[in-house]
Amino acid sequence: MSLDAIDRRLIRRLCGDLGDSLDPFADLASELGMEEADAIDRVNAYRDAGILRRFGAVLRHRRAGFRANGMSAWNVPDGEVETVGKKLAACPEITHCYERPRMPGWDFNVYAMIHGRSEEECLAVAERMARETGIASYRVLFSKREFKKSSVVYFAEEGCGL
Amino acid sequence: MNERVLTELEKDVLDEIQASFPVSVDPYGDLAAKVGCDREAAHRTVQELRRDGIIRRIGGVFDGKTLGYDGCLVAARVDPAHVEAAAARASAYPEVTHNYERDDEYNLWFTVVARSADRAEEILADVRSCAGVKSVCALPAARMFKIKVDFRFGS
Repeated sequence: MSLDAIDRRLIRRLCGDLGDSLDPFADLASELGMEEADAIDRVNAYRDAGILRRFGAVLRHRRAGFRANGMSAWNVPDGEVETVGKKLAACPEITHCYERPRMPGWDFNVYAMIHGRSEEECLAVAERMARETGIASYRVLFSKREFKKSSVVYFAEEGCGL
Repeated sequence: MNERVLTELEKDVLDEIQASFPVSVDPYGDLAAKVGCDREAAHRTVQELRRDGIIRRIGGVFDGKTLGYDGCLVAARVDPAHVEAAAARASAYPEVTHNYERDDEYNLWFTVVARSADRAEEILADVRSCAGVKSVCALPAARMFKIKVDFRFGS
């Protein structure tokens, strides 16, 4: 899908918050100098094209009780990555799951972010997945300090005007 | 941070709007129909959840790759005495979206979403040049099995 300057501005705006309005798309369209129907059509087009993964609420999960998140890293034989990846992905407590390269002194090649109400809960999920996948070599790393957590803003560098 | 107790309606609303907030001329009317309340209650519920800090924002979560961006997880080994300074160097870049210290030999983990691979490498090179930084490894995703942030509250 090819994107014009209006799309880039709309996408940049949608990386923020819709806000409090009872008619949020009317207000957003007005803010951007476009028709409401056009804005709505473009958002639907982004979704259909796979550019927009999701349009919805992004939560502060800690405030909502999901206090712990553990980055689990698994050492999976290359031939099993597909099967193991799919099993991890099927787990509801796992939000992100990727195959990544190994590093020196770090033999783990599949990563899965586990969210839970406590660290114990996250570890229990990892143990369950270890049994289900048959992968015994894994680690769960919790965050010691959170230095930054921000939403990505695409096309931010293009400035305010068209 | 204190945990806020959620009402049944709030749980239903959160379960609904994480997956999809209606994109229409009457989103709160549409939401109300889905969760079984009236339009004003749907609107009020969402505003209160935002005000109380449970909803960070309502908006779009885009696939950076399809927009031409280069995204990557980065792992670094940093002398513990220098972690904070190295982290600050990385965090100063708007392209660095998440940045955490974790308890392992690779103790600094951050994500970079850059306009190009060259720009990403520029950022990594800068972090690599910080005092106490032993190594900085880019870990691009070879295969993606899941990306779905969705916290279930439902009754």
